[in-house]
Amino acid sequence: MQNKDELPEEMKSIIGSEADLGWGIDMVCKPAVRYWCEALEDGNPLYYDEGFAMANGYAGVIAPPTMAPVFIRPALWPPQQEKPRVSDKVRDFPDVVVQHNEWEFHIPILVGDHLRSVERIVDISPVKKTRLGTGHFVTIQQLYYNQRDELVATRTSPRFHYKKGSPRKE
Amino acid sequence: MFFEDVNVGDKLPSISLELTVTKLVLQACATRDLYPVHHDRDYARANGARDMFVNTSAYGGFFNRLIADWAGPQSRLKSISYNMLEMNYPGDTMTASGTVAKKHTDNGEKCIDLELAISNHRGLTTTGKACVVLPEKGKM
Repeated sequence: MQNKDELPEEMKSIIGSEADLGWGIDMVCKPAVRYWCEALEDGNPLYYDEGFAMANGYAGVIAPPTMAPVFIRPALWPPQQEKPRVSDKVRDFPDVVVQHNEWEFHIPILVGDHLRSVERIVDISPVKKTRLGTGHFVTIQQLYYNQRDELVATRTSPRFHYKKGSPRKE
Repeated sequence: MFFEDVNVGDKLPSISLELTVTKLVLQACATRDLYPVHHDRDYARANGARDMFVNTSAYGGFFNRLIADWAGPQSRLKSISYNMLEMNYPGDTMTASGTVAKKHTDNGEKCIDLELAISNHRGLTTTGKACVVLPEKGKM
């Protein structure tokens, strides 16, 4: 954990901020799983064959574990008001890159499940200069729950928030 | 795959994916990551990239495929983490590989720790780690 005294007050104050991303617009469904498998050439029968999935101890067809965010993304049309995100609070550093991702999987995602997500800022680094510019690593954790309020998966990623054109590391 | 059959140092059979513009568009749609750098060459180049490039979610899905293809339908992926160091573009073939780093028991579960990598013809693009739970022979 970094020395928080080095953090500007406005950055320190947003650690712990939460945003409720709400329920997915659709339930977990076979076509979405199939599109995912096609894009990655994944032929795992657990993702399409109900008999195979049940013979391996599942209640039905499952989705690949890292697919959770797909079922939370907002509809692309018709235009909607975007839900507030915790990253909105990092106002002075609007440009973002993600280089690292960590997942923990708690229980499988079943076709027919309905997922919701909550995200929160769990850490912010002191100011850093990288090859992109000057900013902070903001660690955001996203928690995915199903309709039974069971924690399905947790994703944690430190995102580099910076401002284009700011001083860079040579 | 059973826990007893695995040894530290074992290599997972590697998997490859030929990347085309169509494949990257499929990945953008399937992952619902419509940030234009992943499906729009003009936008990607105007923003300093060499070309449109594979998105974060696709790497997670590709590593999951590598592990599940090897570990089988009785396995359960517990965790995965990965670092994206370089990009993969249309025209590249990305190859995922893995090595068994450690065998251990965690809360009664038989766990295998893996070291993961994705490379293309230019070199290493992504590194990762994962933990997968395997069944035991005696308990089937």
